[in-house]
Amino acid sequence: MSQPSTFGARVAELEKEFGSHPLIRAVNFHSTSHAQTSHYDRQLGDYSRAFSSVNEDELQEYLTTGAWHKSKPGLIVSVFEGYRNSYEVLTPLIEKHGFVGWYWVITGFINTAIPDQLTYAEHHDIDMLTHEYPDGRYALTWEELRQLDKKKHVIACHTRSHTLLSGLDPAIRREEVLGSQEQFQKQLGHPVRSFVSLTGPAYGEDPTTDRLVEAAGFEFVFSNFRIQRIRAA
Amino acid sequence: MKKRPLMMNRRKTLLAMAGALGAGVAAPALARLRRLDEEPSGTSSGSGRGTSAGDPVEQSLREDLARLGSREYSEEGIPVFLACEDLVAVKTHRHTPPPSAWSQTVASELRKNGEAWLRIYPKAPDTDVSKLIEVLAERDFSRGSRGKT
Repeated sequence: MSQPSTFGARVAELEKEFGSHPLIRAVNFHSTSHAQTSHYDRQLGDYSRAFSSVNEDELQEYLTTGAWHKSKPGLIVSVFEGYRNSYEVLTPLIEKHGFVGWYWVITGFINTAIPDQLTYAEHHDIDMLTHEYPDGRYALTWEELRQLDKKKHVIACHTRSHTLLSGLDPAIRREEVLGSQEQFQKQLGHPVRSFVSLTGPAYGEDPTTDRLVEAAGFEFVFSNFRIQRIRAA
Repeated sequence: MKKRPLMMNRRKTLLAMAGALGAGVAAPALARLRRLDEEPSGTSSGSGRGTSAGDPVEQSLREDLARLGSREYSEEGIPVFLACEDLVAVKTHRHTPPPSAWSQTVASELRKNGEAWLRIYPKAPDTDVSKLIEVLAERDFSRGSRGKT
């Protein structure tokens, strides 16, 4: 789906997209500061009364059949970037309210040395509104990700350095997609199944990125208001 | 908590292009939200030539935008809808699941509210669609499970 240049055209395109495919709800979190804990608790508590968790196998079934077998509709709880406070603040609340977290990780952020993480965030469009860690560690650790993985949360790829892929040098673009997947394989012991890049693009909009996403073995591509299943598990 | 001024950084601009990735808000939309906050309820935004003062769709949009205008996007959970496409089935000419009645309701609401948005903001940029989806998703989430997936 190309990006129409006017509001009306974009609405018409999305109307067609929404009206011709199954939809699913998602909620997108980024930094989740300790100061907002009670707010997140209320929000997820409200959602838990109406919606149920979604993991990748359930998403796959929904995408392929359109059928949903839980009593409440599914809600994907997306947690972007790989912030430390995702683990410390949001994860206990996600678990308390019975959801599965989808952790979209920027591997370069995780791999950055602690003293350099704030600077890295500033240079890679990773918002850091609240500076709450005097020790300077703002990113998740691989050990924390392994714990999340073990607890059946979804670990997913948000590229290596949170940059726009289009127009990148081929070798750099390869690192953003394949290199990031190789990191997951090495650190988690398995590849991850889902991919999203900064602002998209969707699968089918950029052939070079498509080839890399295929080569990396991703099954789901998330983009602007869409999830595409591009290969069988 | 330190609040940022109501001004776009690069990331928010990018996020505004990608509701699925963060449901950010474009600068023009943010600027309008501030104006809506400052205006008496039910008045025109000033850019809204041709608005229908009594139109319930427009009125609801104005109220929701005013309510959501104070959001700090980098620290709040923002609801969205995602359309699910099985390209594996398309490639292999297998059956793809049809949209649900709920999907079609959301699509219809998007069209109606998109038309109202353009009556309020005739020069709305395409990136405002992220904000419109956010408004519709907020309404849907607050209604809970009425629209079963």
